[in-house]
Amino acid sequence: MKNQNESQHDNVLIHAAAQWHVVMHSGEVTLAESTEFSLWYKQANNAEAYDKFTGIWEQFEPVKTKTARLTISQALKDNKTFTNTTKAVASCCIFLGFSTYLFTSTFVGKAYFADHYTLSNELTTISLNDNSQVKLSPFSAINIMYSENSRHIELVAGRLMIDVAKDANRPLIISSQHGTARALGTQFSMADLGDYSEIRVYESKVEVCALANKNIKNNQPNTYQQCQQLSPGQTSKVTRESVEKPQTANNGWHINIINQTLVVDDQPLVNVLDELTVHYFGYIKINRSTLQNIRVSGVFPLNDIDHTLAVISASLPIKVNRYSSFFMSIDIKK
Amino acid sequence: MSNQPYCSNQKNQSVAQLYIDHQSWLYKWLNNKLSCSYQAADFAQDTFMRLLNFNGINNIKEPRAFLTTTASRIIIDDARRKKLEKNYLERYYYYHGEQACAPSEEDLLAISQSLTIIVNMLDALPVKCQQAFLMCRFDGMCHTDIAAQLGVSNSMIKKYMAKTMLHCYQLVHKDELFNLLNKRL
Repeated sequence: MKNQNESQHDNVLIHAAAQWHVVMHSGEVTLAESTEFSLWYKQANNAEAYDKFTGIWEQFEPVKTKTARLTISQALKDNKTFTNTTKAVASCCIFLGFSTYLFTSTFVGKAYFADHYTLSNELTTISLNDNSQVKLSPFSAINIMYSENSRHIELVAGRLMIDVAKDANRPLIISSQHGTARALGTQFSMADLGDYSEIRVYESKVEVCALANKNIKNNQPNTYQQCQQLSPGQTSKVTRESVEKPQTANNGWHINIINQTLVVDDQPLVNVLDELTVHYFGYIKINRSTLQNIRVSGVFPLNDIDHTLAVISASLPIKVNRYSSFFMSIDIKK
Repeated sequence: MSNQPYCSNQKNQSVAQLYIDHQSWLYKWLNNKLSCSYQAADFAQDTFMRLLNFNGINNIKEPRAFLTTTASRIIIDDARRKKLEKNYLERYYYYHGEQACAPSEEDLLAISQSLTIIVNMLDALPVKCQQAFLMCRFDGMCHTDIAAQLGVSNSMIKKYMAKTMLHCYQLVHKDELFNLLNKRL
């Protein structure tokens, strides 16, 4: 403890001495300052500390020539240029890393690294080697990971519809960033809608689990279900933490993945716009608060969003503002 | 009588022991690296000279690794010094004319050594600190003029100067602090 105090005291003394040295060599010492300094200098230990700085200061005296001074600043500049180059290289690396990260988080980036992807407005059908059929909506991407004892499809982005071929030994699992859907033999669809994934079952049964299920221990109170069984005609939403209770699929809402149309009967406009967002290559900003009371019916093509929006805005009091080909906002017409 | 060098204290004795054990090995290593026996001998000598001022000598675990690191540093410092010397001479002739008397070899060595020490001391500091210090110490400018030139306040110049002085203090009296701490612990 005493040692600590002592070294702390030394430290304070050294700092004070440095400050005084700077003041006394400022080239503009006032009378008050020099009087105060001579008082300080007389106190115990102060002179010793101060003289150390004088010693350092004096070391520069023999080389105090113009030539030496210019040589020094040149050398310091050279060294800094070297470190600046190092810094530039480092920031380039960081920039590259960051852009790669940004790129991989966009759809194109995700698709670029995926096994199968759709970019155009057409529907793609993929036949897998177990005779299952996968249909991919536009702007969707999947990875296929089949092995001897498992069939795993990763939905990277967008929506897929699958006809699963029966294989008693290898259950088929489709995973999104939110959760998994497991089936033995069935027909169902799964869509990654950003905040959650939506599963709709057409045939047989599917077990849907949230991603967090794997990490939650058994002794924890089960406040919500992490897994749900879905029967034909049921739909459910899954987030990372939980699975919504299965609901009878909304009869007024049907996505025909083969024709690429959305068929709705008296549904909130906001939901329709959300669905369109999934199929739009770019960003659509939706003013939810003003649009929430509008309801809509009709058949909307999902493979030509610009056309669909034009149709909607012709019949409803909404305004579509286009800022570029990749960004638009939708608000109520005033 | 004996090839044991005369030793005044325990630290010098440790250096002597290191010298006896590893000098010829270090010389070979350097010779191999530089392929110049004169330079190798000089650098080997400088390495042990530097050890005389090193306080942690009794704590060295891997003497040969330590010696090669020290020798490498000395070689780098020497290269820097030579570059500084070259720059210095260029400027010297530029200001004094081609016909001017060249500084003597001794003076030149002393100057380039001092300059190396100064550059090493100031190198780690921010550019503003370096500039302020050089203007104050070498150009003899007062704080107000420096502040005007660098475009900062007078009190900032005081901060820069204090930072520089403390930095130099720490470098110059590092060994002393080391001793002080050792004594107290």
